[in-house]
Amino acid sequence: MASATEPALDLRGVRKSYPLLLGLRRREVLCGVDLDLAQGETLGLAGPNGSGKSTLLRILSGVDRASSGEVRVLGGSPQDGAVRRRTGYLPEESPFPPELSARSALDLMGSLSGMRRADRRPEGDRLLDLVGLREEARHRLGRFSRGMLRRFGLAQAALSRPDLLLLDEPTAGLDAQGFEVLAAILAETRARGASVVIASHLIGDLREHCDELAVILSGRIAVRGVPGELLAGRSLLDLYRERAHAREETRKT
Amino acid sequence: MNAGLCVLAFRRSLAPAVLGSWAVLAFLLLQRDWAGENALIEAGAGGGDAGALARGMTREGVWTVLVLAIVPLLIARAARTVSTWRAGEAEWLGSRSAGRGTILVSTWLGTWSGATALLALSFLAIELRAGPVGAGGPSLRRAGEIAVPPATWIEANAPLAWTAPDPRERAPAGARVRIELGFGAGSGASTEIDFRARRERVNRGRDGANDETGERITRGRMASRGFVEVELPPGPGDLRLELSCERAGARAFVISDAGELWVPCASERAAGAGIFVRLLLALAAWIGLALGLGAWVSAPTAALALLAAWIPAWLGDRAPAWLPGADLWDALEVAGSGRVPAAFDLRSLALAAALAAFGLVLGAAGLRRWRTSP
Repeated sequence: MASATEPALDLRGVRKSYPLLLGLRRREVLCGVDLDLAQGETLGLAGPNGSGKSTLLRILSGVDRASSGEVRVLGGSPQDGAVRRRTGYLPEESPFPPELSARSALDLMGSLSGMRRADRRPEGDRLLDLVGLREEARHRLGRFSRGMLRRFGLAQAALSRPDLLLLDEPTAGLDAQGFEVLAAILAETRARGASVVIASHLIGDLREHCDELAVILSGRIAVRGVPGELLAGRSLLDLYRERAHAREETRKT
Repeated sequence: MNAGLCVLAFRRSLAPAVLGSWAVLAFLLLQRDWAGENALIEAGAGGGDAGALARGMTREGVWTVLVLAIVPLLIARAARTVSTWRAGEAEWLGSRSAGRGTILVSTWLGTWSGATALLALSFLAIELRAGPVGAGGPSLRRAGEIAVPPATWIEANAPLAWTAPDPRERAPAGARVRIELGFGAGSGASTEIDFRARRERVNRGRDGANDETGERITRGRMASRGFVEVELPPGPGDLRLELSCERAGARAFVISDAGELWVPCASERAAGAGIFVRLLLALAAWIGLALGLGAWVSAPTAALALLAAWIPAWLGDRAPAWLPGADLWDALEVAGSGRVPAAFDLRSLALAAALAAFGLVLGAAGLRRWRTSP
């Protein structure tokens, strides 16, 4: 369990760029992100395609590193094994090992997260039950549909009972039952006092599950607030246009 | 080390594509008659056991094709591992608390174990195909070298004689020395060569002169180039060796820069085992290096870089036995002659471990960034 005083996230001036043309140029994806999140809160991340939401989640999960800036996750570096053990991550795609059964894959992922052998199997079976994949526990992941893979992804993200859950487009490909699964996972996570970050394009996800909403535009946090207020009477697209226009006006003045 | 990841890598190294390719290839190769009349002809010319030669040719042929076809496949797949991770699997693999070292070591061990299983199956299949070992007596194993004077002409009135230090424990009863000769200009198209070996015991004679005992002599016919071989007399003492041409006017010359020492070996199956062990050591190094290079460059570039690094060792006159995989082709050639290659050099074991470790360190450094693009 996280210490009550440490923020779940504390990011200052985080930049991320990738080399282009054999390193002669660089493509900047994040351009100075400042972000914090208290423990037990759920933050929604919205933004158009290519705005940097997935890159930010990869940095928070330890898969990628920031080019510059300070990243503190659960009081430590996301590259630290002890921090990663307390973090769960659902990637945007579902690149899980197709040759393994759902149960074996969860066992492998639990072992890589430092879970004890005695805890892995019962917790894995419980989560497979929760996400509605108990019948398919012995089936290879390569035979799963997209929706089943998303549900498996939710199970593997929640496997080590993380203090911070990072979900990238969690409802993409989910059916009605999948939405219930997501709600159940989120309810369980929040009941533990853990924090959640959800990157999504769906206004419903953000309104229903998030305490706060941050909009990323061109690699920067453009606005942050309560979802009900930010989205009152307008679509996400309207919000993006409005914030882009406001930024343009600010730059002119 | 993570057992689950090791098992995943093992399964991936034995993917259906690899197992299928191996099975089809092995089936086709094992149907072929690798010896034919050649074994009889060579046995007749060299005085060897035709059965052992035929089995040796089968070992050499099947192992050579499998090495050329399957080993590059295993290495290319190992080199592709990191790019597969970077293409997506990093998302679940790189976000876990297990360190990069654990992930790489487990993957290396699993991949190498898969390769080992495939090679073990190959060994069993080849030995089954070669059939029971005949009653032609024990086989011979390469056991080192004996000094030979610099290239000199051998003529009827000018034999080549020299003394070589006692090979001691390397040369038990039944040991032989073999030298490769070429037939030079002279009368006729061939000549007969006598190869004599005696033991020289210093200051044992009654008159104080060296006492030579137990002479062995072999006569061989030389057409263009070939080997002459003589059994060493038993007992201690330096070796007095002599090569001479019998026909007046004929000339031959020594091609080898060293004489090959051969000692009796219990079973010719040790030839297949020798190739198997060499491949295991080489693959330990190659898979480690492929994983490491694959974290920095594309999989084809990594595989080609590895090939390029070993080519000088394979093309040189003498393959360095301390380099894993360098003397593989020499070992295959020896097996093809119905004999057993030298025991692997212990230094190659240490170097294989060092090269694999270097590759894994290289890979861990490359995986500091799991992703190189958005």
